[in-house]
Amino acid sequence: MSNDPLLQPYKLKHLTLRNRIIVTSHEPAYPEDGMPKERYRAYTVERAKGGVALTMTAGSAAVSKDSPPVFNNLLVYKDEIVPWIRQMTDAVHEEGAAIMIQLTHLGRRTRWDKGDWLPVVAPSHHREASHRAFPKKIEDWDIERIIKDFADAAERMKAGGMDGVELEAYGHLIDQFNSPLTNELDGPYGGSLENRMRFCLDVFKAIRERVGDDFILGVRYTADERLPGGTDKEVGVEISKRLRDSGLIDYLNVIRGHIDTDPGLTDVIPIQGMANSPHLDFAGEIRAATNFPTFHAAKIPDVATARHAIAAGKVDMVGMTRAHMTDPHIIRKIMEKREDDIRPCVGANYCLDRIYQGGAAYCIHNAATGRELTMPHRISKADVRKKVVIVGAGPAGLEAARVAGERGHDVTVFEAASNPGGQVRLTAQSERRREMISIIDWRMAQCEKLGVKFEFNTWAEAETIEAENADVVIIATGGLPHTDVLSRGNELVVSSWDIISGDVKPGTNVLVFDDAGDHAGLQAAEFIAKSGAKVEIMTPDRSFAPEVMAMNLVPYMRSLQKLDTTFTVTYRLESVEKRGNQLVATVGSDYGGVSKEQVFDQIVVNHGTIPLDEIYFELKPRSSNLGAVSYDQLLEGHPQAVNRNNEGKFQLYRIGDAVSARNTHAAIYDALRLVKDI
Amino acid sequence: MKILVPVKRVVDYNVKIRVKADGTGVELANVKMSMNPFDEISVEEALRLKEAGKADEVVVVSIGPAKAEETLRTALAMGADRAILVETDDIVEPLAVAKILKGIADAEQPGLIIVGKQAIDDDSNQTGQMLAALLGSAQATFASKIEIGDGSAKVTREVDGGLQTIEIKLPAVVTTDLRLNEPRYASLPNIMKAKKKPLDKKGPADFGVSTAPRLKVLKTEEPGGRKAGVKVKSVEELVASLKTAGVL
Repeated sequence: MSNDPLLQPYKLKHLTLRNRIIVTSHEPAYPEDGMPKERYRAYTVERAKGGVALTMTAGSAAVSKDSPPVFNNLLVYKDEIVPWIRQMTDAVHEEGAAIMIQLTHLGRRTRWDKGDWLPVVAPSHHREASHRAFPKKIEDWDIERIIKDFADAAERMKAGGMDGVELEAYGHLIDQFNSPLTNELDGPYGGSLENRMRFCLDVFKAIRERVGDDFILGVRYTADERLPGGTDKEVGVEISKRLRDSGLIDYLNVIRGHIDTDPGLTDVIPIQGMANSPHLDFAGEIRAATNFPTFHAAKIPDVATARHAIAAGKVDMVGMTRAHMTDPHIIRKIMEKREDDIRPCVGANYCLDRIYQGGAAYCIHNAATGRELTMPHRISKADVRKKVVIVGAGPAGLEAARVAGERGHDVTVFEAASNPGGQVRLTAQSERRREMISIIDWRMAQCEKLGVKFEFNTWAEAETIEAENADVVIIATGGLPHTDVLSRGNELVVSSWDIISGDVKPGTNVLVFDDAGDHAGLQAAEFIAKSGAKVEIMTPDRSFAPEVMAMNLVPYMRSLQKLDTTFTVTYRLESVEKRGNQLVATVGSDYGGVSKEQVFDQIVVNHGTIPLDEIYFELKPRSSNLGAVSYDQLLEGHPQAVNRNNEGKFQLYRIGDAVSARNTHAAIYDALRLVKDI
Repeated sequence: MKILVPVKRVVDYNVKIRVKADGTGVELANVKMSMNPFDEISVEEALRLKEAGKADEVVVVSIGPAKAEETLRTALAMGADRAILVETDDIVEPLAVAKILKGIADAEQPGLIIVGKQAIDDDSNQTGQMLAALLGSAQATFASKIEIGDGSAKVTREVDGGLQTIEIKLPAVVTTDLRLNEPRYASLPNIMKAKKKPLDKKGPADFGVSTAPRLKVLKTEEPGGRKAGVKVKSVEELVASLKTAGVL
């Protein structure tokens, strides 16, 4: 028996949890028609296979028709969900893990123009900034209806084989009752704390009556809203004690903060560059004050911190939720004493931000997450050992090298720079993005174990590659900044890379023209603004930095607004000319009818990259497939069988930004999808 | 003023060093090689002096195998103006390195030579001092700050007791310590530009220097592994054990 604190079992009422790590409830937005079908099940089961003690599915499964999901959540108000739930719980139990689900009514935290276009309800008319709906003030018949909906949904979950349900009480309807900021009701459900908590306890009472004792009930709730006039820590401790003393629930899952704005949400679920485990001590205080089973998750990305959380008695069960999106097999690797092999969560928050923007959660550097039906988390050995040569050690090249190494091939990587990483190393130049380099470091460590050979400081020429006599050549050379976007004066501007890399010193009065809208633009702007310069960020789009996405934008805004950066949307930089030692920008608009001059001493253009593809086109005529990829074979998971040139000596592929400017996830997915079948 | 910076190709500082089976040295096959970190600091300092208008050319030189060209290209990508490769497959000892560098200095007449205080492979910490002696010039070792004046330089040195600031006459040899600066990132566009920068190739014979070794390596061995510890039950036992071990 191991003496690792993380591997000790935990008895939660009648339920024995096999260790101390849980995946807390979260919605990766994989439901189909509101149901957890094959894809959802495969994702959930993978984490159970990986050894997690308890997996909580479904952030915010909707109990009522007037709680329509804002992205794509489970619809637990439908009876038809029961068999789907049953298939999932059976499969998870088969792997030895427990499984629960989180239920909620969103209250005002949704929109009336979703689902059945029913009015949004809340205990006041206050609008939530994030979702914008002006709510109807809830009435007695709404309260009765919703309490019954909760009980009905819990009964469905029990019938589906769930070990329990958790209610969401931070930012959603239950918390909207609890918080004095959002509860302006008179009568039994408004006013005093006892009255405000009445809704929450009525819901639990109704559920407990319906499901009986042998079913775990818990609550994930904010014990400190960190908002003036809101639930503070003192009240939070009181709420915690009242929840415990109700005798209705079995554990507390502690949240600190509020989620009604992007910055609030980001403080609850911090991203890269922000402090790790910022609320763990707070959760520990709640546990100490209540002496009641306590769960908690919030940026606990590494095993050492999780172990500390348990060993120090901060919590009973520690949540590593995003960490499990990056590596579903954390527990297995701990048990096999292979902690170094755990793929590290870098806090890029691509998973969460992408739920809203892209409609499904993906991990920035594990392309198999959420694609368990087609992409492997564990790579199998190939039948035939091939010689694989890869040009470029950025994210695409290194993922290709790692996967080819796992397949058992003989792999050599050529890299022009003295260090691996490509654009990831560039982005990691910013303090707030430093964690990104783990995407590279983990792959380098894996490649070393797999015997992948590297040639650094080597600008590979077509002849060098040909002399390798490879079976497969993969071009992952990335791109170079593309700044030739003006009608005049392209030679007068610098790129965002020039600024981030330090090649060009910041000016004093600077325009950052950013129509790529990715991190590089804001990184350059921040770098310049921090040097004391005046910065204007301009984009022709309706909003700036759309590819950075909501939560990732928060730390930038906190920095840039303080530095007095100007944000200008819907204007386009058209041309630049030099006048004396100044640069005169001609600014127009896609909406037309505007042409004005603005004076700067430096102009930065952020317009993505243009592929570095000379070597690909040199090698193309010498390859057997002439560079062609069968998309059918690629998507069906078959080896590439294209032959367009009988004289060709090797197969040639191109991945990542060497094809076209995309992002880190796309580069890594390109590599995994192609190389897993080589 | 011209600045000369020698750079050495060494095993990357991240690599776990393995001793060759026959004990003749460390394993270099299929091992990541990089610029000696102290030399990176030297290149960075030279570039900063150039950017501050104190120097007008930065010349980098490496003595080693053909592959050392990669190390020079890295220095060129960082911003050095041109490079000299003195190609030899021999293991060149510090004295021979210093003699070759003297030959280069005689030809190039740099106002300042910035040398890493030591290379992380053999940790000799000799080349800079030997070079200054051969040139008969001033030397300032273990620099953590360099200020160029008129015909002289003020150098802050890291010494055992703290910091010591000395003034030296130029031309001089300065060796760099860890805290002098943080070397810059060589960006891809600059790596491309570096491909086209001039690189001269020479041999030790061009400087009349023999690289024949004067030292003989008897044995190379890995440090002994860590021995298992002992668990004690009480503070008293801990103190007693520490006394027995002679630590207290």
